[in-house]
Amino acid sequence: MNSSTVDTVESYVDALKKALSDLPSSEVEEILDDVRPQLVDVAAELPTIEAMTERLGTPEKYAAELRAAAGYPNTAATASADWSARLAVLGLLIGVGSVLLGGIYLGLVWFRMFTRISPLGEAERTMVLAVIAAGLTVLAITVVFVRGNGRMARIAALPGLRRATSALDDADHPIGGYLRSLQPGWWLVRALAMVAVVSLPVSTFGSPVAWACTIVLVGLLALPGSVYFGKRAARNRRSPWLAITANALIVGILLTGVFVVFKQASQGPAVVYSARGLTHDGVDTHNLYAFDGSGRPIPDFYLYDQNGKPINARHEVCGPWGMPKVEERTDNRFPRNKVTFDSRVARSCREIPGVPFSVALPNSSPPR
Amino acid sequence: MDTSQLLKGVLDLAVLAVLRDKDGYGYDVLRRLRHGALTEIGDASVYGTLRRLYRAGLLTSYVQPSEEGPHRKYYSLNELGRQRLAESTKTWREFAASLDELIGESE
Repeated sequence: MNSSTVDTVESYVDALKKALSDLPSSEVEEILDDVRPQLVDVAAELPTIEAMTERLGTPEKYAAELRAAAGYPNTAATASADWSARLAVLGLLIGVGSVLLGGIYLGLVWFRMFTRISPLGEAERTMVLAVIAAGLTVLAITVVFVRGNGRMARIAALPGLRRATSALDDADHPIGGYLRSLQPGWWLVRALAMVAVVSLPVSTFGSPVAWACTIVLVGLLALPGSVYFGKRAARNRRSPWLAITANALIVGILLTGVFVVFKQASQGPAVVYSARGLTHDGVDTHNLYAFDGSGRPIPDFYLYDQNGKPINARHEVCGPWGMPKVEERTDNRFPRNKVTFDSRVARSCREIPGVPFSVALPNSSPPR
Repeated sequence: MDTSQLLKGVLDLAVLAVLRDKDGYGYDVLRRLRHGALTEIGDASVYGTLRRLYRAGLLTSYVQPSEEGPHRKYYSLNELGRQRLAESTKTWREFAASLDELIGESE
C-alpha cells in the first residue's frame, strides 16, 4: 500500500466520519473497523478518490445507506426533530407547571370555602390566573403540535428522555428502581388526598356519621381507581403526558392541603386569619360592648369611623359539630351573642345573649 | 421485480447464515454474500446490518491481528444469534413454500 492509496482511503474515511459524526465516536470507530479493509482493497485497485467514489458512491450516500441498514436515526430528521422536539418538551413542562399551579389555586379556592385560610388579594389572583392561563395555552398548542404523526416518538427518542425512561423501566437501576418501588405509595397518597378533599365540606357542614360514611365511600372508589389508572398509565408509555398532567394537578391540590393543615395547626381553631373584618391589637374582633356615661350597657348600637364608614366585624357563631365558627358576613351592628367554647368538652359551644360583664367607669365628668 | 427490495427483508437472515459455520470480518461477510450470488446488496447495507445485529446482541465480535495490514474485527454467531437464525430460517421456508404454492396455482 503506497502513500497515495493511504491518502485516498483516509480522505474517504474522513468524509464517512463527518457524515456519521452524530453517532457516538466508539460506534463510528467500530463501523470504520468493518469498512476499512474493503476501502484498502478498493484503493489498491483504484487509487484516486474519484475512481473510488465512482465504485462505492459518495461517502455521504454510503453513510446514508449504512445508517438505514443499521437502524441509526437519520441525520436530517434528527436535526430538525431535535429542536422541535426540545421545544415541545419545554412546552409540555411549562404546561405541566401551570397545571400544578392551577392545582394549588383550585386547592386554595376549595379549602377557603370550608376553612379559615386567607384569601388572595385581587391583584395576586389576577396575576396567578393569568400565569395559569398562559401556561395552559402553551400546553394546548404543544399538545396539538405533538399529536402530529410520529412526533411523540421523536420526543421520546431525545437522548435525555430516553435515558430517563430506560432508567425508570429498569428495576435494577439505583434511582429508577427506587422510584418504581415508590409508585404504589403514590397511588395510595393520591387516593387519600381525594378522600380528604371530598370529605372536607362534609366535615364542616355534616354530622360525624355523614363524615365517616363519606370517607369510607370515597375511599372505596378512589383507592381502586387510583391503582387502576396507575397501572394503565404504566402500561401505556406512548402518551405519558396525560398521566403526568393529571398527577401535577393532584400534587398542586395536595400541596395546598398540606399548607392548610400546617396553617390550621399553627394557628389553632380559635384564631381567624383574615384580611377582612375588624381587628383590635392584632386580634380579630367579632363582638363589641358599649356603655353609656353612667355605666349602663347600650343594648343596640351601630359603629362608624371618622369618615362615616361602617366599622364591620365578622360574626362568630356556633357551627356544626358544636364548634365555634367565624362566618364571612360582616356588619356594624353590636353587641352580638357571646360565643363560649370549652375545647375539652364536645359540643360545648354556646351563644350567650346580653352583656356578660359590667364595668366600673373612671370617675370623671362625661365628655361634652 | 427489483431484487434489492426483496433482499432488504431477508438481509438479516443472509448475514446470519454466512456466519453460521465460520466467523468473519465485515469484508469477509460481504464477499461470502456476493459469492452466494447476492450481488445486488449494497456494501454499506451489509456493514450496517452487521452493526445492527451486533447491537441487538445476536453477534459477538473479537479483534485479531492481521499479517497483511491493520487488525481485523471478526464477528461470530452467539447462542441468541443461532436461535434467531433457526427461527428466521423456519419463517422463511414457510413463507417461501406458501408463495411457491400461490405462484404455482396462478400459472
